[in-house]
Amino acid sequence: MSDGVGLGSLYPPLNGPSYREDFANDFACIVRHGLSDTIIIGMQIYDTPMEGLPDLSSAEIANIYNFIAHSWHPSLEKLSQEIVEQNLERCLGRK
Amino acid sequence: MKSRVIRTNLMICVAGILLSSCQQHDGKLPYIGEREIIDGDTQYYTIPGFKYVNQDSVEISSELLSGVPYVADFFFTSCPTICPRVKRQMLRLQERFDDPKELKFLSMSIDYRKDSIPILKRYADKIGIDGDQWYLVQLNKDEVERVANQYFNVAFEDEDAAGGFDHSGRLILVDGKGHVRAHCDGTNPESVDAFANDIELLLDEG
Repeated sequence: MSDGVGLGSLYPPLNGPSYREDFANDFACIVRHGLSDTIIIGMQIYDTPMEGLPDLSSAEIANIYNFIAHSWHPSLEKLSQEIVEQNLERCLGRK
Repeated sequence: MKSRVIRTNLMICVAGILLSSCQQHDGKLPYIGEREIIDGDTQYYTIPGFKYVNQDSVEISSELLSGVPYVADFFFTSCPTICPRVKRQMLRLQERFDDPKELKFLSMSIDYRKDSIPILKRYADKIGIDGDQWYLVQLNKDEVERVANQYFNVAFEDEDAAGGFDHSGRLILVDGKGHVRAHCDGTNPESVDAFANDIELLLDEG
């Protein structure tokens, strides 16, 4: 799992090609509040609900994103704690 | 808060039991847990009898598993923390020991609310679990803490924990007679490698 390949059709891979710049905008809200939508990554459907991790701070969320970017998507720009906080403001209405 | 202190003490206590059982052994696995001498015979700790229903709605009982060693763990399908890591390691074990007649896997869900049979079935299918070898079962509310303790594990509901339950990610090896013979940290690949060697030793016992 530390290699980012995911697990069957249960957990999507983090090292796949389908992570783009706009993923950064959704990332903070997904980590904090979870996800119940169906997502498609690399032709595979993932529909297992993901629990949120409400205890993670904005700095921790930024660290996770930057770890993923650094490990598998070096072309993505790093995410700052400030941007994460701005993104979290916008997802308050979603939950 | 008080209950959390008690839980923490319990965890340390359980860790102590496990550590004290880590003896050197020469080609034979130790027996873990309390033992009694009855009429000159040593009676090793035995997992109490059980009866569950697995992901395919098949009854899984201690009688059915009699004579076949199994690897036990505690998890829940929506667990956002350690379960994915542990399941990945268990899949690795299943690849190495792929004969259902030789070794079984028993994953007990502690989410007595959500992890019904259809949910367990979907989970099993999604990660490619072989239903002949690997059983997923749901514990009920009264069983969670008690059964976890029977396997020297800790599991309990905790609304502060991610996903609603706190539990340890230990894998437990039970031999064909219900005795606990080895354990490891299921989140740690190196610990699981050593555990796989323990499984080999047990299978060599015949």
